[in-house]
Amino acid sequence: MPNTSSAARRLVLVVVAMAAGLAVIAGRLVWVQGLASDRYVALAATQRERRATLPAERGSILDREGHTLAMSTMAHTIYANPRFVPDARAGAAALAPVLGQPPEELAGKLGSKKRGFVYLARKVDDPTAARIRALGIPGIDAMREPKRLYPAGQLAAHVLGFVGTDNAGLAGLESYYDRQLAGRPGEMVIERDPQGRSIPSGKSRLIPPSRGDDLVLTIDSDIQYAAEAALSRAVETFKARGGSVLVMRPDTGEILALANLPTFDPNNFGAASGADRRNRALIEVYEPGSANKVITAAAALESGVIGTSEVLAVPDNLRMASKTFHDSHPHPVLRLTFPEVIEQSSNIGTIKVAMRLGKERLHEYLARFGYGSLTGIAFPGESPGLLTPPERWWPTQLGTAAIGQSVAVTPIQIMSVYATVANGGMWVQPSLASGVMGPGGTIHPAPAPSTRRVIRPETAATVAGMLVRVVEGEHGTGEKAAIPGYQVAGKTGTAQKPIPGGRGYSGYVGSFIGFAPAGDPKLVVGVILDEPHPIWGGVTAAPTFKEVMQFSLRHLGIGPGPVLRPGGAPLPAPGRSGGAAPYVPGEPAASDATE
Amino acid sequence: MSIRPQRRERPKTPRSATKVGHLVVIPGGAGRGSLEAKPAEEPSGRGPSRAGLPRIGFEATPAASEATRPGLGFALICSLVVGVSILGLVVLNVLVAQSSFRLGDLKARVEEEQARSRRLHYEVSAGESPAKLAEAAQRLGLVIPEHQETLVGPPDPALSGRPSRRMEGILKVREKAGLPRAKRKS
Repeated sequence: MPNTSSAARRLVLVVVAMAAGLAVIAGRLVWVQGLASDRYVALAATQRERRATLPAERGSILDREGHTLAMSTMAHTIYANPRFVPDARAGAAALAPVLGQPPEELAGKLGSKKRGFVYLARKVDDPTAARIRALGIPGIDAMREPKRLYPAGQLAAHVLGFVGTDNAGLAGLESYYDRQLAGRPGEMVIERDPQGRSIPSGKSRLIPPSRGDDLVLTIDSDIQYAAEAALSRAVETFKARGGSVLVMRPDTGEILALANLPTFDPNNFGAASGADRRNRALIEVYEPGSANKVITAAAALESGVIGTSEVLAVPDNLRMASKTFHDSHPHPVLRLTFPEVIEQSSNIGTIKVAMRLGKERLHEYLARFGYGSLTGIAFPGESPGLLTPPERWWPTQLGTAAIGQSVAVTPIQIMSVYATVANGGMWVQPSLASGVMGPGGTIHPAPAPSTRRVIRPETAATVAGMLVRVVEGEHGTGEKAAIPGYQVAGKTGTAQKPIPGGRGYSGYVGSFIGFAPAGDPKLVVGVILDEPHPIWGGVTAAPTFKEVMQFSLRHLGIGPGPVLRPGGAPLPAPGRSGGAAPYVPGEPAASDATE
Repeated sequence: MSIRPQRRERPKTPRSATKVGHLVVIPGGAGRGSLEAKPAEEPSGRGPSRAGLPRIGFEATPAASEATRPGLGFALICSLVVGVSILGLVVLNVLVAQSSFRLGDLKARVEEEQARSRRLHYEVSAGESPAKLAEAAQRLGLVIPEHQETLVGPPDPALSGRPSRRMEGILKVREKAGLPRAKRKS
């Protein structure tokens, strides 16, 4: 009997133990398969599933004729998993000549065994990637990444801008239109085995990326190239520090060319300094000098403070408050009509007219022509220029502002001034992009440019005629801008450069801005040279203007057009308003007599 | 007094008897046939004596064919179906895997070809850039004319050339948007 009960007890114990074990297993089963199944399913999925973001192809940037200025392609990025690299030094020694990197730097990257991923070289070309693969170094591999390329190199670099390593726009139109160009990235989910191979019958999901839209510019590649080449020659010939050239259609505001020097190659933008990458035509301001006299002239004629046939006594200097203004060269007192004042670019004659106008009215016209406010061109970082309110003008500022000192504008602003005159007094917002082109070639045009009337068409025509005299007149300062067979209107500018952060001036900016054909303006061209030698805009910038304008007219097939009467249609003063002193034509004004 | 289990006597089987399944075949049995059978397991004691055993007569027939065994045939068919199904699944799986790898290879090739196409596009774009064209023109001895003559007259459509289809689309949209048409090169 004792034997039997002992055996029975042992039997019971075994049964209980087995039951307990089974209960534990059953409980675990319920836990794994039931209560916590979602967690384990997810855990298993993370072990098998590989989720990869598929980068979208960035849209291209095209010129107005459809030529590609910026495009995307696929390049290879070389990376390493240092844990699988058997010999970091040997690997670095083999990779260094192919990647063009110091072996020590590569050895440091390959030797960091705590890291599972390290970039060795981003976006290298196919032959380089093939050579790396041929080395067969364990732990070294390549993957595809999109790369931005600019086939025309430096052409329109400041307009295009550039993108960063992650393909996001960092400057220029690449930055401004980044949302449209970037597209939408896709995603791929696949199941892989422990060796990284895809499981054929495993889960697979693909959300394809959407390509970005193409951006169509107003830029004409050929004119852009001609502008850049002419600017480069001018900077070299006249030993200037740099410069800008712009070509614009006055009726639409479309910019056909925008060139700056110094420039850079967007394919390798890191090699250029920040200053070289800056689009000085839109971002940097300068004092326009005599080129600004067109506003003084338009304001005076529009306000009726002077007519085109009135004669002014113009000495070579003029005292205003604490400052004495001078003309560019000494001369006896001249008797000049207002068109002759503009033709000869007389500072004193212009200041005398401005004194009739008054600072409030001069300021009003400066503002109406766009000084002190953004043009609204679709470009990041545009500067509004500097125009202080008239109540803050110092006593001599009426004189300085009338001749284009003490006010600061961007080249695009002064271009808009001349485009307004060329366009019959209607200001048109400048633009660089004509639209974006979606998949299938559907174009979404850019919003129509805003417009506003600044001066009457008659006034604009008269000012245009005065600007023709600058080029064609016997004493005109812009004779080097003349184009055989065409009537050209324009104005020279030789402005002092203010010392940055200080008082006073140092150096000069030479410029010539004009349009053609003067009778039916189709193009406006502006040339601005920074510290040329000699300093005169009529000597340095005017020939460059001629070169660019001539090429552009020929390229676009623009004929000579109707001829405008030099000096403009007679525009008698319809009656002065405001606080100007009375003026008797043919005789020095009261104010003149005292000066 | 202890109770001892009674020894049960094992029924004696004739020496010449042969066991076939649960039957014992006794040669020389009664009947028209040649077999005499009795149950192999026969309870001892109380069972009927050998003499009183009812004789079961078996008729000798030809050996049963496979087809006449319904269980075996069914099993064979099932095995065949299962075997073929498994083989089919394996083959299908292999084919799917093969196709999947081939698809992967083709996708990689498509990517490579697309990348090649982009590279060629880039080379074409770079080659037709104004700087490259000017360089090539200079190599050929062409120069930019210093003087130009302009013939002014009614436009001749035959000389104007036609814009590309793509640019024609762009120009049409520009016209619809109220933007002016860019003039073509003369």
